[in-house]
Amino acid sequence: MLIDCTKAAEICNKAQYREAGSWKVFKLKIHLMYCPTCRKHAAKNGKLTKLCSKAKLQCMDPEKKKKIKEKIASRS
Amino acid sequence: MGKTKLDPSQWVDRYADYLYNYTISKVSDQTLAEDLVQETFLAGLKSASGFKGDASERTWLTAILKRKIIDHYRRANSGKGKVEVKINYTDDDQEGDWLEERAADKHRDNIEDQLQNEELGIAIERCVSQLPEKQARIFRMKTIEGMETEDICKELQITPSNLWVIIHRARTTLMNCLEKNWF
Repeated sequence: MLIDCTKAAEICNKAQYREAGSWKVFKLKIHLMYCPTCRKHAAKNGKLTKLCSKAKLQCMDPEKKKKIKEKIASRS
Repeated sequence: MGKTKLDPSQWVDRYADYLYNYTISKVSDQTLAEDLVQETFLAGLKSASGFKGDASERTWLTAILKRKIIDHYRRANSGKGKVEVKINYTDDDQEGDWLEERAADKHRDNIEDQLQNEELGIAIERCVSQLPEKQARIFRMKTIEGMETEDICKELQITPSNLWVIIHRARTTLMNCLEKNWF
């Protein structure tokens, strides 16, 4: 039932990507009740997730990246 | 502090997404943004001999990109120069309304939000590009591309627990990097 800080951090990270099961999230919540360090970290972690989604970050098309890499290699 | 050395073979992996997001925020066109980033890298290669090593690679490439974006807008506006004014208020009975409607800009809040989000995007990308390469790559795959854990592990031949340790390190560094201005 009780988890340590390392496990709590792992569950907290998985929860940011919706990859933590409800039982694990429950155990995390119990841990956060008595661990202020993890509570602070979890709040910041959640904030980071919100900021990332708000920023609507994009990645360049991998094919385009590959072509640019080839061009750079041929001209270096 | 030692002088920075250029390593063009790593430019795409290290800076392409940062420069791409920066460009998207300025030109709002994906294809154009890709082309401008490509032009930036090629211009960087061409002028590599002039790089003194005082700035970081990213700062130097960003400066080149900024000039490319300005050039793009100069080219795009070179045939113009005339101000287009459209006023739809032609009837006398509507005369009193237009000033008020123009003054109360309904889109202003949206524009402010959008600008703030663009600024935020650039700040996040700047922090991501400062991460160790593997952390940056895995963070991007997981957070920006939204890839499944299993797929990333297969592609990079790492274990899931390895992945979560890397994600943890990346996220902790990013939180600290963004804390001053965004938390």
